[in-house]
Amino acid sequence: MAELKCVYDPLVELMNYYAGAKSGTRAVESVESLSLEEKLKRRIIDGDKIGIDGDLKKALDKYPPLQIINEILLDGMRVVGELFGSGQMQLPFVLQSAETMKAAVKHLEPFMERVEGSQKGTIVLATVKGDVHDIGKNLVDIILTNNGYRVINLGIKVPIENMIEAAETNSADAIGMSGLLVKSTVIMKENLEQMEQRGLKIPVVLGGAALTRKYVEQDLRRVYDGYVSYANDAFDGLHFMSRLHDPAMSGEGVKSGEIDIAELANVTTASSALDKTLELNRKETWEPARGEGINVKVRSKVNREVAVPTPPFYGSMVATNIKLEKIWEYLNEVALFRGQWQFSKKGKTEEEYKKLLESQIYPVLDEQKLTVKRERMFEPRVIYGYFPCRSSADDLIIYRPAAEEDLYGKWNSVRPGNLKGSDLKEWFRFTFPRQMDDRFLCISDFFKPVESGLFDVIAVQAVTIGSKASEYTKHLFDAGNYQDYLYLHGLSVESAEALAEYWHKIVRTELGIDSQDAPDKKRLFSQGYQGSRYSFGYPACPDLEDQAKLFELLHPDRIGMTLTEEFQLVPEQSTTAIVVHHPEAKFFNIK
Amino acid sequence: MTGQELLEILKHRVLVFDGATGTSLQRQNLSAADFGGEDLAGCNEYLNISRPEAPEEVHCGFLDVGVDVIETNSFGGASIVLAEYGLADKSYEINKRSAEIARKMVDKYSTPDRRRYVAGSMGPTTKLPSLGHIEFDEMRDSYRVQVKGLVDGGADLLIVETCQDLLQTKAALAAIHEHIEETGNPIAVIVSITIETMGTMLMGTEISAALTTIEPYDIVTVFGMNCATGPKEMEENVRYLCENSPKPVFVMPNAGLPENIGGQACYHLTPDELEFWMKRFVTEFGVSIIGGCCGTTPEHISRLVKIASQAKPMRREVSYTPSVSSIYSSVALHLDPPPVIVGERCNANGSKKFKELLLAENYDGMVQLAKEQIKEGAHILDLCVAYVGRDEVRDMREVMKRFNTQVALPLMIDSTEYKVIEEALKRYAGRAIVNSINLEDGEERMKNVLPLCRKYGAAVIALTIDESGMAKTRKKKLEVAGRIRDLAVNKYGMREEDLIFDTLTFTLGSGDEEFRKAGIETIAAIKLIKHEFPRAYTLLGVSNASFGLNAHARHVLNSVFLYYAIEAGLDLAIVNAQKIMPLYKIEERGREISRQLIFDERQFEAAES
Repeated sequence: MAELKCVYDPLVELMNYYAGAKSGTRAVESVESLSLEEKLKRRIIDGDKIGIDGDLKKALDKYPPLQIINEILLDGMRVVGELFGSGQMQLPFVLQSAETMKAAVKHLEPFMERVEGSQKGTIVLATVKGDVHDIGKNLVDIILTNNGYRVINLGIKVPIENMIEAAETNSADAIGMSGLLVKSTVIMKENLEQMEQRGLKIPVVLGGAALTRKYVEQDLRRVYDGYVSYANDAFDGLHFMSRLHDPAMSGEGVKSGEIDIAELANVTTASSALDKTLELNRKETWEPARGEGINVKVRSKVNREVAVPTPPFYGSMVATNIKLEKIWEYLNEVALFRGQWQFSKKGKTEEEYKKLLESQIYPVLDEQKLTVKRERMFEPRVIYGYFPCRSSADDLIIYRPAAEEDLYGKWNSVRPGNLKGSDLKEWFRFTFPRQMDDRFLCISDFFKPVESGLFDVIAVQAVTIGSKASEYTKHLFDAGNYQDYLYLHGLSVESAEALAEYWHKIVRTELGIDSQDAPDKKRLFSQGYQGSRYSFGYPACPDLEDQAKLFELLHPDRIGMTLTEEFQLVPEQSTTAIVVHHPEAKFFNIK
Repeated sequence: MTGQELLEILKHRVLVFDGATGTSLQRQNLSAADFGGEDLAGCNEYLNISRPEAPEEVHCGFLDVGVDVIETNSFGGASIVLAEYGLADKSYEINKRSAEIARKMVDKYSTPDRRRYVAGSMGPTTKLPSLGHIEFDEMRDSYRVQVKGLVDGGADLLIVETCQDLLQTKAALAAIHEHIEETGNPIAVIVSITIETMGTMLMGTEISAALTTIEPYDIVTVFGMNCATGPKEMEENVRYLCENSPKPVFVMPNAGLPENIGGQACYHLTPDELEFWMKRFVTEFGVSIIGGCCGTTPEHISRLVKIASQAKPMRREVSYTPSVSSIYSSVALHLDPPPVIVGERCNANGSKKFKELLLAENYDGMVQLAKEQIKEGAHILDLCVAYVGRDEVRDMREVMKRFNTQVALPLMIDSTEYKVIEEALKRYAGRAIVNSINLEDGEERMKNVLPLCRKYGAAVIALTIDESGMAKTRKKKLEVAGRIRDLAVNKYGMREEDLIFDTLTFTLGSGDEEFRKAGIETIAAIKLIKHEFPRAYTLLGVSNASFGLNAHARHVLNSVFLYYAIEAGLDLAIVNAQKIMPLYKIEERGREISRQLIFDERQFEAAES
């Protein structure tokens, strides 16, 4: 028998591979062979901050600190911006780079002479009044700060007076406003009007999910004489700041907005033409229904003969002790990965994205879930209830027991079964808007009308994952832990949504209308079930003030939820909804 | 009545306990003379001797409305409570009398078709052992006298009720355990905890932790809650128990939250309201035994009798994941995603820092080190205080006194000394894991350790070692695991889910030809054991695999090894959580070489000769 000789031994290989490497460092030869400058740049792009101090120390022997930042490190950030813009780099890795940049700048700071004016520029950033969403704004903060700009971050729900004051005391070069809600775009317009009245000229950059370039560049530029720019993402904000200080661009042209309007001339003309056509079409449909100044009652063709399901109780109850695993079964991963975490699919084949999912995204999700469980960061709580109701035109009348009793619990005097009008009295009404074209839908149409003599049932739910998550994410942000901040913030937002989805499922089950549920949970995210769940502030029921009525129904302060003056929910990771059982109830738009 | 007999009854009907004893006695406006003198006024238990007509009247009131079970007037009958009236030495007599009185009443009402029963009531006493008010042994011994009195007086079952501190519950259960062992007569036991309005037990214990701690006790037949609040406030926890408790559920609420009116506790829940809630608990949630606590009158209880007469016992669908717990909260023995991480640093043999803290008797420092591991990501902490030349029992006592209430994670008690293990179990309010048993000296170790695990409801780690040493092949590891499993289950009364098998590994870093396949065999053994004993758990001390290599190589190899072990079904890993990286963070080449090493993918060529 021939003797066998070992020609490859993984043990020997492993020992050689990690020979000399210390725990915690990465043994990547290719980086070691680079020049110092290239190595530093690479570190920024790779988001590799461990050991960067040593490299910076060496660099300080050759260059003054400001030059290191401006020429080497910022060059790395420029590449990061390009990679991000072209979809080759995902946001979480951008944040890792930003963290590295921050660490590097922090290391260099003590060596820098404090020269007034060496600052590249100052911006006041704020989420506008009535809005609590700040992740986008905070990303702008990160990117700008780490690129050498001074950022005065005023936080959320900031009135315009505070922004103006902060801009004046800090001699800011620009104001940045952000907001996620549709309502916030209106606030931005009001803010600009107020700035115009005061004769201000300071440039303004606007960003937020509900904004569009067209709205900013057409509608908002009109109301303010200073320069107004739209930022689609954080790097747009960086671009904006750099142009303000570019002598060639900061002339009158930019400030009056001419250059940009010229650039966009083609686009705007085309789109406004399209808009006009749409508007004409709309008017045609509207007029017959509305008449001129006459209130014509319209009604949709929604079937009124649908059987009313029997709820398990009337009144409301609190549920705690909800298992996270159960909630996460309803996690919308697409919304989390692409929407919150910004792992975009852009420029990737199905196969490549799948690989990204398996090798990077799912492990991150697992890790975040573990952190959440370990720190007991989420405290899921729900209040939900069932209430007798009837419709009257656009109104939905909610009833309460005629007898005196505690409304906040399960009702004793009114129980499921035969509801008698004499046991009930009107509590209050929701008034929902009606479509003035299309199908003339109104949420009230999905319920038995008063004339029928019957009572219908509406389910209402308020869910939260508690305030600890918000506190913790703030802590991560303040500590410069941007990547974890993004991951955790995203997971907390989507977990609140998942809890709402899960509870909607429980409500359907309790009402006995769950037989239409799609077997694949993913289809639930696109309403693969009987009925619909509507949240205030969304198209079918846009009036945020209805939140106050919902609070009257459920008193969610029992699970630590409160409402701000602007009808925003606190803690941030909370949602409320009304649940409609009618099979024809789906999302629709009020135009 | 044995636990089996009680379970059989509960299959066919919902049982009704009586209402308040204490508040009913108060309503009789008894004088100091009735109590046997000024000094004894307020000692309800002494009425059994001084004025037995008083408890008799209470019992009759409830038997008249048709209850199935009445509780003896012995809530404060443990000697440590009676001592406050100078009656400590009368404990046996008082308890025996209380049971005799109840027995006499019950026998009057029992018919062959409809038997009534006596439940011996064991209250929480006035002391909290977790806070050091009393030693475990003293409390257990006090309960032993009470148990003997109640059983000798004719109690059909025992109820350890209104529990405030799980360590107190455990002391009562240890007393019952010893009584059963000694007399050879099993008796049905109900454990009922009290959840305060803030949503936990007085000591801060969550309902899940209480269930985790009591569930493993085979002497406990029924688990539930009583007192503190009315039924409405109990709803969430009753729902939790009905969804999670494998044992039938017991609920005995107060007549609402007490309201202090002129220094008197007043209870306002109407019989209608009680009926509404309890009917829901029985017909919708599946509660098996109902009764009334403070403030409930015969009128209240008559409604419960009505519910029971109309309702059929409901079949509950229960999902219970065996878990371990601290005094505060529980951790399942399988997490998704796995693994459950066991922090290894509170070990005087493994951690230099911990050893130094122990030698300096710096207990705060030790607690601090435990807390650091929580931050690092551990779910359970291993605790070992063995150090040559020191008194390990004393060290364990001192450390455990603090860890019991100051460390929020469940503990794994790591010692080779049986006395140390028992010392630790006696001071631990939650459900611990004992580390460990094996067959190195045959059954010797199992014989000593497993009875302790049963007595205190602990889980146990079983190493795949037998008389011939550490098992090396998958076949041998499975064979040893099988032997341990059969002995533990068939001979020592453990359940398969109480067992956690450690398949052990040797280092892959020595290059020793003998251990080249150690990784493959260990991983394969995990898979085999999970397949063969699906209810048992598996554990591995992962860092052994890389012993002898440099720090970074260890870091990578441990991480990759853990990945494949988990893939094979590993549930728990003893690691330094901070030294484990997710696979995607390890660069491709290092990951691949590690994989090749674990699966011994050496390449060979025929040598030219």
